Parts: sequence; structure tokens; C-alpha cells
Amino acid sequence: MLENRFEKNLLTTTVDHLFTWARRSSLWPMTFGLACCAIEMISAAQSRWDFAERFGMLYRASPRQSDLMIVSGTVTYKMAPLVYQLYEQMPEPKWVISMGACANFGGPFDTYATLQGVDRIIPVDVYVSGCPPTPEGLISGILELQNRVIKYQSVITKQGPVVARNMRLKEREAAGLKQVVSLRQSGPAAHTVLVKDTDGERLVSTLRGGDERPRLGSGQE
Amino acid sequence: MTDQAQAAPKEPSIVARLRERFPDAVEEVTNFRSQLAIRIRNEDIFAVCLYLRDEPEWRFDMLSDLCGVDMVKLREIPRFDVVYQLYSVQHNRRLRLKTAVDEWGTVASVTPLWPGGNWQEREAYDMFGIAFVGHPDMRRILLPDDWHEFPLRKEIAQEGDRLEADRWLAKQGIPIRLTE
Repeated sequence: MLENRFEKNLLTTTVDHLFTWARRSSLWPMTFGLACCAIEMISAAQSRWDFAERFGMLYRASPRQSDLMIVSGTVTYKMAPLVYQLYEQMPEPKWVISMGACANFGGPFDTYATLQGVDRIIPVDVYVSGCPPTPEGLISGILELQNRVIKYQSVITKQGPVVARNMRLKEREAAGLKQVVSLRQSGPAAHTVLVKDTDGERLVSTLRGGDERPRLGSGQE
Repeated sequence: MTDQAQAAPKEPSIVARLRERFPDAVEEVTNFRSQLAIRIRNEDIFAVCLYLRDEPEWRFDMLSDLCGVDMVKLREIPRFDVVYQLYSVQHNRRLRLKTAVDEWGTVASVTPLWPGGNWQEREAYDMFGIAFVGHPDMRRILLPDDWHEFPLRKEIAQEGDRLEADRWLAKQGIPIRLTE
């Protein structure tokens, strides 16, 4: 907004800094629940975890007033055009969190009607694993996203929007690579998937959020 | 149940009455764990259902469920079964009817008799491609209207035809991002 309107001086950077701070402290997500993950998302916004008040995240009922899309649940092929349209209707800058195994790569639904990962139609910034993720998991994803918002904005200020966009594209690609390569190469159980990241390839169960920590309420803690 | 009763099971009176009234309609009667199932000839299913619904003796006034079954691995032809689960509130009695449908064949809709059959028949059409004649709104119910396959047919893999599904997405104007 203020780009190229002033010489580089103290005022511009300060205002940019203020804008960035405001942006990451008031990520307004769109009210958009697709499946059971939405229940965890709602629960994360309510009094026990309360990210609505703590992080300034007001749910907006219109994509035109939101800058964050939390894809919480299974994206079917029938729903995919609507998800895409809502994403297109959001104004820039916009961010996407893919919440849960289904939105990440189709989850247990390796079926005819389920899109195998919402990143096949819209770019995703942060993937939150779990089936469904706990509210803590979602909040950790949001905190990660807040860091990225700051990083992205400071790169814009220092190196220009092109560099920032390329950086974001690279980050998104890297995040995608951490996801499942293919369910067909999955392990013995339907919930086991092959994950490729810096440590190499390994089989991970998506039922417990892909880590060894038992899920709350699963009777395993 | 005594051994004698098992040796010579008495045909229930409902079957006798059906045979009497529709001599050629009843094709097969099975009694599994005292659940009576009658296989009805395809052409007679509507008349039989009308009779069972309106006759004071039976009064099957509720269609609990209706579904399609792909019988391709169980017999040569016809390809599909349609199964009707009837319930009589008045007599507290249940009855299962079955009828066979050819691949791309038709069967009479029972929606005019039980309005609850509307969505059930649409689902059977959606999943198997069984066309119900006389249905007021015979189109897909869960999948998109221009979907390319009937996914519960046995020759369709669980994951369906992903390529065609992606083509469908492209037809909606959505570019597919390949992440692999």
C-alpha cells in the first residue's frame, strides 16, 4: 500500500512494521467447516483455548472480509469448486491452513469422491497433521503461520515483493514435499502413509497426528 | 424351533396369499433367521408393493429402506438386485422384497407408493445406475450431476477413475496443481 510512495525512511519501515504486526495479530479466518475437523476448530475458538480473543482471530462469514482460510476437513470433488471459488474471492494477502489428514492428502478416504489433498487446487502455507488435530495442534499451526506472515512482510520490505513471492512459493513447495508422496505406497494400515522430509522417508500413522504423542481423549495417554 | 419344524418349514401365509394373487410374481422365498425375504419378478414389483401396502391384512405402510446390490460376482445375469425393506406399523411386522434388474435395465419406482423412496431410489441410481421408471426426479443425489461413473459397481476401483475426476475438476475451471 505504501510501497513506492515515499523514499525509504524511518516512517515507511515503521508503518510497514505496524501493518505487519496488525496483520499477523488479526488473521481473520473464514467460517468454513467441511467435516469433523471443524468441530476441533470451533472448539479452539471457544473459551477453553480461545484463539478468537487471544490471537485476534474473528471468524468472518464472508471470504471478502477474511485473510485466512482454514480448510478443516474432507474436500470432496463436489465441494472442490466451491473451495476454489471461496479462495479466489479472498483479497490479498491471503493464507491457507490445511487442517487434518483429509485436507492434507485425503486421509483415510482413498475413494472415488475425495480430493486427495486440498493442495491440488489451492496453495497451502501450513499443514496441520492429525485426524482430527487437537485445538493445540491447530494453534501451533496458527503460530507458525504468524511467524511466516512477519517473515514474508519483512522480506517484502527489505527485498521487494518478487523475492517475497518466490520465497513463499518455495516454502509452499517444501511444505508440500513433507506431505505424503502417495497413499498407494502406504504401509500395512490404511492410516499409514509414506512421508518424505529432511530425515528421509518413513512410514507414519496419521491416526495420532503423525507423531508418537498420543492424542488427548484417545484413551492412550 | 424344533427339529420337526426345521425339517418341514411351513410357508408363511403371506407367501401363499401372494402366490394366489400374483401367480407368476413370486420367484423365490428365503427365510433366514426368521427374516422373510421374497424375490419378486421385476415386472410385478409395483403391483405387489401396492397390494402389500393397501391390503388391510398386511398394511406395509412404511418403506424402511431401499438399496441396490451389485450381484456380478454371485450370478451371471441379471446384474443388480433392488432390495426393499418394508415395515407395517399396525401389525409390527417386517418383510424384505427383492427384485432383479439388468445392467442398464429399469425397475418401477415405488416413490408413488411411499414418498420416502424418493431419495433412496436416487441413491441407488447414483451408485449403480439403476433407473427407476415413474420416479418424479430421477437424477443423481450425492455425486455431481455430470459425474462419469457409478462408483459402487464392482468393476470400479475404490478410488474410482482419478484421471476422469480431475478432468471433471478441469471442466469446472479449476487448474490442478500437481504436488508429486
